[in-house]
Amino acid sequence: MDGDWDDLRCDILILGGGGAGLMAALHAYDTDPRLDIVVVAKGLVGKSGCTRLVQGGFNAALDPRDSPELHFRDTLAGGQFLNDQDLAWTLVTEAPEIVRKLEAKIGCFFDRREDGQIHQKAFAGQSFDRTVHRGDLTGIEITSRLHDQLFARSMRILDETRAVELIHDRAGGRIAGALLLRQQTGTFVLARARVVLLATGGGPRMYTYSAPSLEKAGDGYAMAYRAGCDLIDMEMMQFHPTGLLAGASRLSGMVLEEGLRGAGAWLLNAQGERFMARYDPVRMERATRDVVARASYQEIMAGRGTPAGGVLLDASHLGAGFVARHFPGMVARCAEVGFDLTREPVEVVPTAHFHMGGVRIDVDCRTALPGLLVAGEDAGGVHGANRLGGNGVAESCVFGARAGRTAAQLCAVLAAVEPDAREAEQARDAALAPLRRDRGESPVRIRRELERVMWQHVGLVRDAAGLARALAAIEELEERAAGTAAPPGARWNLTWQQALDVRSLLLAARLTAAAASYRRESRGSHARSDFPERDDAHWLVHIHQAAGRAPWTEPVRLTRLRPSDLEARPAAAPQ
Amino acid sequence: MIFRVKRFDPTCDRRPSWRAYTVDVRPKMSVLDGLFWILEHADSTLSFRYSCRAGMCGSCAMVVNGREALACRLRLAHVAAPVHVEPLRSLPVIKDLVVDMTPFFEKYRAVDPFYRAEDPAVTGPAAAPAVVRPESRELVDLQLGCISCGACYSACPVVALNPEFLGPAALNRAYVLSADEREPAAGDRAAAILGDGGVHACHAVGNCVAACPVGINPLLSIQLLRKGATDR
Repeated sequence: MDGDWDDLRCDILILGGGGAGLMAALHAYDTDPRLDIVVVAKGLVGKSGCTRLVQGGFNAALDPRDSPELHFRDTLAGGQFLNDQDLAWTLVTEAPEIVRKLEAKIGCFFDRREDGQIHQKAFAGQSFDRTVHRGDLTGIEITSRLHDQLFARSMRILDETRAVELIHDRAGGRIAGALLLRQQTGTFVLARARVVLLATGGGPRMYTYSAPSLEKAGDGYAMAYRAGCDLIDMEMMQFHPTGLLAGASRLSGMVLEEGLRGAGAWLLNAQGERFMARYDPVRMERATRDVVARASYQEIMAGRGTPAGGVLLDASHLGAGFVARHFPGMVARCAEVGFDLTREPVEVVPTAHFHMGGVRIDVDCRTALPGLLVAGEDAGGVHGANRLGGNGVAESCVFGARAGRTAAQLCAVLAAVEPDAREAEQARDAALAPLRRDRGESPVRIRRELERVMWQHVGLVRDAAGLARALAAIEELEERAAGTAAPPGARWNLTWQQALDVRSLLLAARLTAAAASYRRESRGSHARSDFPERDDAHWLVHIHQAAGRAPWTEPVRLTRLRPSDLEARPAAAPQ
Repeated sequence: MIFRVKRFDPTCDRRPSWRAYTVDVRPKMSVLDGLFWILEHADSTLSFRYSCRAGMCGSCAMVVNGREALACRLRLAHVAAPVHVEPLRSLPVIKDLVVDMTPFFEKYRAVDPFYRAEDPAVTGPAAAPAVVRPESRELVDLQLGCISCGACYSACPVVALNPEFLGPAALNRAYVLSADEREPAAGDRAAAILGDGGVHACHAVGNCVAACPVGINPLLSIQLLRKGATDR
């Protein structure tokens, strides 16, 4: 192929077809229906990505006895005060209205209580049962209904299209568009837009066990970093405590939802002990994800795991009927790989699940780069050092909506500028390299090695020596990745796509390991065996990374709540 | 385990051909795992579609040993060898196991599949969620969780013969909306539901029921829409 591209012009280019991208598309369109909006999805729009995979649900203070203030305290306690408080406050104050919109405007139907009001269930780390849900497969309802709403509006959808690179204008001062690669045809598109929204979702798939959908590769982080954005808190990687262990199947690492523990399921080691008694005797299995995941990991490392290397999630004492009624999706998933969740313990392992870090944004989703907005998991700061279950889809929807409105408003003041063709050519040539190479290493092998390195050294418990080894290994893998080859033929070439995924994964992994090595304390999801204590005196700071400069720190602005405020009144009382 | 995979690149092949691969199967692997094994160990040119690998996204529906299935949910232990894998029927092939879903979604779109609020603009304030008794949703709840994988569409013999027929998934969506007591402005869907491609084109074969990987009964939805039309 010659590598020519098609030109595309629009007002708003939305990279990502998950919760944040779709909410943004609907809000931008309804703000001004004359806007020309293009939604780009790596898979099929509304069907790929991770909002779809949300099981548990959506946190919102709907009940008169609950309040955004309580939700805020829980969110900061869970995030161990590393949260950007303006972002977290926006999340908790707007979540209720967004739930109402999802129901009354978009048509989602959430489970009801007997009295006909929305049912809210218990999730870990929360002082009130505030998780709105649709059975145990909430994300299907949210993304399907958002997708349905696209059919009521006129916008362009580019399915199965990879965002390759953000492209600046010729002066280099702002983002003017993006280079895209259409997987179905293997051809490139250079999109020019007044506003680009990056909403590709994080997707930490660079670990042996990970939960996100398979196409996710941290593309958003990689593009934003190369384009010159500030990324913060990249060391903060959440491991979900209960990833299903399913042998050689790629199902391994898929999450069994937190509502199981909320409902009272136990975690047992191979000796049958409820080991959380040793780690968090008050909250037990309902402790936050960071605490429970690390406890499981330590049990496994201490030789008290199962032969397959996991621990056991046991819901059988809740009653087979109860489990089958409330968790049908989880029961079916376990049954496929030979476990009866209703009657026996199921093997689980901590699984890389969510990246709290990401691009620095303000409450309107603006970045330091004019013309570029970021929303959803690609953004950092909302969740601090650990995300509460149920706050993820809330973030995507709340900030997706805000980004859509911001984008529509910016279109009135931002003129379209031409993307720098030379920059686009370079991006295209770099993407084409594996395809143009006759011989080279398989991207799959590099990927497997990266997963092992990250699992071993940048996982649930870290130390300086391991992190240094990881950084060296990643550097070596990056060199090898520059020599991968894919078979000829650009159309629907999965091996080529994998080579491009590996490039993003390696960069996201390097940013994670570098920040982890920088933070010499333990906080939330980031545990250092050589610095086991949380150290507010020195480390109540965001670690920033940007291309071409050494990492630096900036203090967390404690604008609404200080750690001492929580000591006076603890956030998540055990239930 | 022998996999026989239907390969086809419409830009250069005159017709599809079957290719055989011997897959090194380990416990708990799914058909999708088998396809990844082929991609990574035997043939780096194989094309297939996937995303969530857990039965939630509906991206990897295909025909396995003659029947529609989500490749990620079908364990190899439950499949007879040799495993014949081919793309969904009644949809154009893009390459190998990847089909063009456009006709499926065009027909879905024809029933106005979106919920219509009185003021549909999402930028305006939203009303409080309606009070809905769970018992009033018992039937519609069972039909709600469609993952638009296209399995029913592929399995339906009427879809194969009658290009007008909207198919089970689209009509199921129309039923779910018609039964949604919250929707204030229903009604515009009647033309699509009762037109040439609508419920009356269904021959009640019922393949859609067997094909649905998430347990929806589209035939029941079609029959309820028909009954509603007669009652009216």
